[in-house]
Amino acid sequence: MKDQEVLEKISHGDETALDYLYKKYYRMMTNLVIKNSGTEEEAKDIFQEALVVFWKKAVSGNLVLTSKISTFVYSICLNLWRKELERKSRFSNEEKDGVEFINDEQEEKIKIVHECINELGETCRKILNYHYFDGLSMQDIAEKLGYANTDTAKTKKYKCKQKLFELVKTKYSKSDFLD
Amino acid sequence: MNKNPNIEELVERYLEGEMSDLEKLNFENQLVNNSVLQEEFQFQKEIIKGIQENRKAELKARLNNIQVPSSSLYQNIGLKVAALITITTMVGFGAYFTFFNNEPEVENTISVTDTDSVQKSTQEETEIPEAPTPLEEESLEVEEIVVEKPDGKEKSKADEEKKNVAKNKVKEDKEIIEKAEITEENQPVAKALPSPNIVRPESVEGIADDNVEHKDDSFEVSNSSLNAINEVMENKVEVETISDNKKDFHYQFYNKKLFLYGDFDKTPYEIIEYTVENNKNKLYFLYYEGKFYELNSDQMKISPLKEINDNELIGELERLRK
Repeated sequence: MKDQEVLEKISHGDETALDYLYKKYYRMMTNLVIKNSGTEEEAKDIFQEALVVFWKKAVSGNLVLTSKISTFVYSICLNLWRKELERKSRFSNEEKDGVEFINDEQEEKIKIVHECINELGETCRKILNYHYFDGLSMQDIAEKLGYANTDTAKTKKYKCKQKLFELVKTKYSKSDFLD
Repeated sequence: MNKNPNIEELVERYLEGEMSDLEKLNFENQLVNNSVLQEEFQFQKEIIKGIQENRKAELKARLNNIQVPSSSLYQNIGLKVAALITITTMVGFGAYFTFFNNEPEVENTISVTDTDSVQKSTQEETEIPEAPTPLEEESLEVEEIVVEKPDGKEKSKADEEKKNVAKNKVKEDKEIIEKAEITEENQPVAKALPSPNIVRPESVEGIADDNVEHKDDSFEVSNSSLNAINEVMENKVEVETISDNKKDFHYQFYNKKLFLYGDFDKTPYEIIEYTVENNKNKLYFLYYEGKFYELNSDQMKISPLKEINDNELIGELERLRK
């Protein structure tokens, strides 16, 4: 598959393009981390993160590559791994107790949000992902979902978000996160 | 928590980037003092983050299910390490054997010099002194100073090839025999090795008596043959190695001298010389780190060394080296 085809597929939301990149560059990208004092598990995670970043950049269809995809993804991996190494060295200097407490609470909240998202219907999830994750414009979302105009997409998005808010708030209060 | 549509909408507009600069500034000022606003702000941020994290986890889960040759990554490294060890070992062995092969050649050079022959060139260890000998019966005659441990191999070789061993020098302390092959017809052009250095290989097992007889005969070297040898010696190729990073592993013949470019200082090399009977051309080959390379004596320009891939030729060269 050529780079242009990969970009084309991603811009259509075709996740198989990610699969292709993942298989093709797995060794190259994970080696980068492994050679720089990372474990294979960390290497895998960094590469997956990098592909997610790439996806977000490419999904709008507006990404203009000045290099090969491999070079681009490689530099993303490099940056992510640098950040991770920094985070690790900072973390080792911090008081562990406080950090863990915050992490526990955040993890719990994230878990609740995940549950609520999965309780939403397919369309709502798509719209929210398009908007908050892929960063697509309302026009793009309207096109993808076959809405007549952007206003329909906007209204739909608003409703989905309200629904999610309700769900999360209910669960939060059950978990004593809110008063 | 009280539901406050106004606050909710306010935060939403802020997070969606729908506010003007003035509104933003206003909102940020309010945020510092208004705890209800703060709470709503944190809440919406968490949800948005949650949506993003959720989608990310989805994609990562997808990728995680793809079969990748993760373990082969280590296998691959393992193989490379193994290969490196093998190569290192081979180079080590090559250096070891080549070194031992070369050692007696120095002995030879010294002995020739002792007898006032015109063996001027103080060659490097690896150079093989050559005496090209025209041979009538065989189309291709090989002149080579061969060094080996005295074992039965030598005898069988002599029998097999029906060639007479011109002379045999045994250095008892090292148990190494230096041997040159030559036919009877060619005795006038025989080796000029001086008899004082030649020890009858009595202590050596596996050398037939008749061979030894022949050797003794050929020790009678006339002055004329000595001169012949000297002439030949002068024709012999000189070798100079030049370390040049830009022309790694190149060679050239210039002014009857062979120049080898590359890092030949670390590992010993050998020059093997063929003499073709019909024309006076000599063929040269370089043996280096287990491989043979062609040396074209007409090659005036610096050119890369080409490895010989012809198995028949390699076999022949391998035989000559021994």
